Amino acid sequence: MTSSLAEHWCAGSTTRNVPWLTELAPEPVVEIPEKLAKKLGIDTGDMTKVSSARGEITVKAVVTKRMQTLQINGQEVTTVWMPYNWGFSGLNTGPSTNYITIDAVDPGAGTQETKACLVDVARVGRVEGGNRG
Amino acid sequence: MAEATLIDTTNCIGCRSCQVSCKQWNDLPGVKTKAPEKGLGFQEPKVLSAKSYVVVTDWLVDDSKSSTGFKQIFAKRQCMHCEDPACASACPATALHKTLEGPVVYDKSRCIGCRYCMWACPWGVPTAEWDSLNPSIRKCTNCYDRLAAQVPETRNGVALTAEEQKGYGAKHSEPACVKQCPGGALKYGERDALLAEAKLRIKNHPGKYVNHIYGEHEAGGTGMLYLASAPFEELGFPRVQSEPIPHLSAIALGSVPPAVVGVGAVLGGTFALNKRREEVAKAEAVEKKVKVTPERHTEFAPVADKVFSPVNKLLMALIGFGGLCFILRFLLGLGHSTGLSDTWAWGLWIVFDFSWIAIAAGAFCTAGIIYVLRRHDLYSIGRTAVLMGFLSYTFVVVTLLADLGLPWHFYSLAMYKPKHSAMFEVSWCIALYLTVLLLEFLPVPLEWFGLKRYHDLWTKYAGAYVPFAIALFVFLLSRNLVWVGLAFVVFAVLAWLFRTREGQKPEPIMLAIAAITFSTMHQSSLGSLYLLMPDKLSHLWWSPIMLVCYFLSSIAAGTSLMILIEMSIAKGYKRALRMDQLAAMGKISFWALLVYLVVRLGDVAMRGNLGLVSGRQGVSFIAEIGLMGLLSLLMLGLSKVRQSPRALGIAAALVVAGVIWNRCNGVIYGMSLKGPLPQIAPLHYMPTIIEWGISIGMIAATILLFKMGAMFLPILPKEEVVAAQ
Repeated sequence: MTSSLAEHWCAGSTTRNVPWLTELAPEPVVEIPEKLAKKLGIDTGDMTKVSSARGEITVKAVVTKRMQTLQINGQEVTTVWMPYNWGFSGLNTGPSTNYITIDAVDPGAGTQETKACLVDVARVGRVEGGNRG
Repeated sequence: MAEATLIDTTNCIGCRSCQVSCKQWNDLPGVKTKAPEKGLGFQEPKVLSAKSYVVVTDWLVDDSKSSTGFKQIFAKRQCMHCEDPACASACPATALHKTLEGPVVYDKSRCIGCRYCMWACPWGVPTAEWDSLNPSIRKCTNCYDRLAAQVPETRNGVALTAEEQKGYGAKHSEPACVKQCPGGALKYGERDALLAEAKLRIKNHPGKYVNHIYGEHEAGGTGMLYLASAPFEELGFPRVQSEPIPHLSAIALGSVPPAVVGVGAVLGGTFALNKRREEVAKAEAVEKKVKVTPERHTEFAPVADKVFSPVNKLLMALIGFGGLCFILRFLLGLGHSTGLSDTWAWGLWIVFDFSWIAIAAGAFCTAGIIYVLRRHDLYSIGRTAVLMGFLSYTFVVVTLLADLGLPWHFYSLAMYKPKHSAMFEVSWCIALYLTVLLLEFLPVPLEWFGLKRYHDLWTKYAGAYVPFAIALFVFLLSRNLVWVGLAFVVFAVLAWLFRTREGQKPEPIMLAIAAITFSTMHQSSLGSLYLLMPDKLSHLWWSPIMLVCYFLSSIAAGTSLMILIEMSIAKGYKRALRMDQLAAMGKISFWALLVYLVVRLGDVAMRGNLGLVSGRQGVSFIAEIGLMGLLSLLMLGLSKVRQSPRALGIAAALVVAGVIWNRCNGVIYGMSLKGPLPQIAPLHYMPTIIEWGISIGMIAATILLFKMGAMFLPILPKEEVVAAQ
């Protein structure tokens, strides 16, 4: 699942050049429900690889209660969330989530298919030195 | 009536536009932040700093009523704008002060950069610009500058109607964060009205809020009133006493003027009594025709020494390094030259100052013992004590120059009227005490260089200086002419009674009385500095009577240090030890230590804090009291020990070490500092080489200058010179 942040607009080319906004949302993350995080051994701050059929990006994980495992049609459905406001230039940069989303648009309305896609999540390591900003 | 802000966290949507608008209005830079940390949620920046006055904290709190089992609560945190702020009470220059309108504001032009406010605030709000060479204290001012701003008459060249102006005025006279808030979480207005509204909200929505308005009673009431749907402890709000935090300091500092008068009167009385006793004894002896051994007048003489002896060369090297560090401190700024931070606003230098002042108490103790208690047998160590005291205090002041962020604003201390700042008291007391020490020492060079005219002037006026110095001090502390008059009269009467009469050998009795009075005041006020921080210092050390403990321990430490100094002099110059004198000092030290330990342990026990003896702080406490306090007390109590140079030396060293350790614990090891608001990320403190360099350089300078003094001036008694080889 992807969405924008209140702090950044679209790919962030304007907002990621505003220090006051950059400070509030400094880097892209993947928010992972506690249950999945436990299963994968991921902790907040761990570098996590998110990959799909189209590509892969590595960002920090945020383990949260805010996203919970859904029960859909008797099946457990786990979702992870990422903001899509990052790119290669600006005051702070980060991998664009759209490397892994689907590059297709609705044939009628032209709305892009970037809100949701199937991904795999795996822990790749930890950044030493802590995150204190 | 004071204005306040009501912060209803249930309305906060966590957009953090208050953070951005705050930075916009106050023109603050962005901070480099990193992704969320475990347990912190989306909270950037993590803590307040000189670049951020506001932080919205993000909490996921368990909630059984919610379908998800938790709820997310945002809390905007900033300066609480206390009704009776600890920071303003701490400030020796009224740079921080509470305005009539409500906000607690900062005036840099008055600030000396002592950072006592940072230590005092229970929320960790004031922060310093560590990177700056001209550092300010920074904190939320509740947009005081917006409140005072004029409403514009035109907009884009078009005149505003009265209605528009009214609307503008209403919006403009709010803090930027309140104006910006889209969720209705912030409301600015009269404190009483907001308090009533908060109570009404709680009453109307019983299930929604916890029945607690944070800020109604905290620290005696604050200008920020919080409502929340979960207990405030779960949202990172510290428990704060409901009594105003400056309450105890106000009592302690308020008792300074009467204490000055009292101490002066008692000392004067004691002196007069002892003097009379002496005269009666003398008269009786004459009557009974008993042959009195004439009082031996100690003669003093310079000692033979080389300026460039190996020891002196080492001292000079240390001083040189210290000087280099001193320069680097000002080139690099505090943040880059020291290990200090918003968590550790004070460090090694303050430990040195506190310890040094405590052990330099030898000067006033010795003066008191010799002149007031009439112990002529100790006369020979008088000059050593006074010179050592004078040099020590001088270098304490020099260290403070390095420690202060804005030492060039020192004149602020003379220009404003802080109400009850222990820092203000200490500053003035030490400054005036330095003048007294200088006057006490002056006769030595005047006599030696044969400046008779000036010596006569000294004889005539040194005593008369005292009532003026005391009156100035009492005026600064009380701003009350009745106390000033009373203090002046008491000391003037003493000065007149104890004036040097024709044909009498001049005795600096008034200076001794002034020295004791000033020392009593600042030694205890160093303890009063802590009265603002019952939440930070472990109650193994913190106590409402900490000032008494600091004063008493300084006497024990001062007299013990005199023993050590005398011993080092004897060793260094290969002179005979005068064990009778040292044993007598040891006995005085014993009694002082005994009284101190009884008060100290009694206080800890009576307040039921012995249970706190555990962990690292427990070890520190046991080392301080047991090893260095009780052991040395036991040793000094035995006359055998007092007669043995080695044992007495060890005992005295233990006393001095114990008191220094006590001051270390007060500043460092007894402290549990939580760092700047929201108090989640305390930093560690490690003094840098520059800090050590300056402190050690100052000690080296004291020792070297003392040696030079002893070499060129008659400081040490003459008759003692014994060729040891």
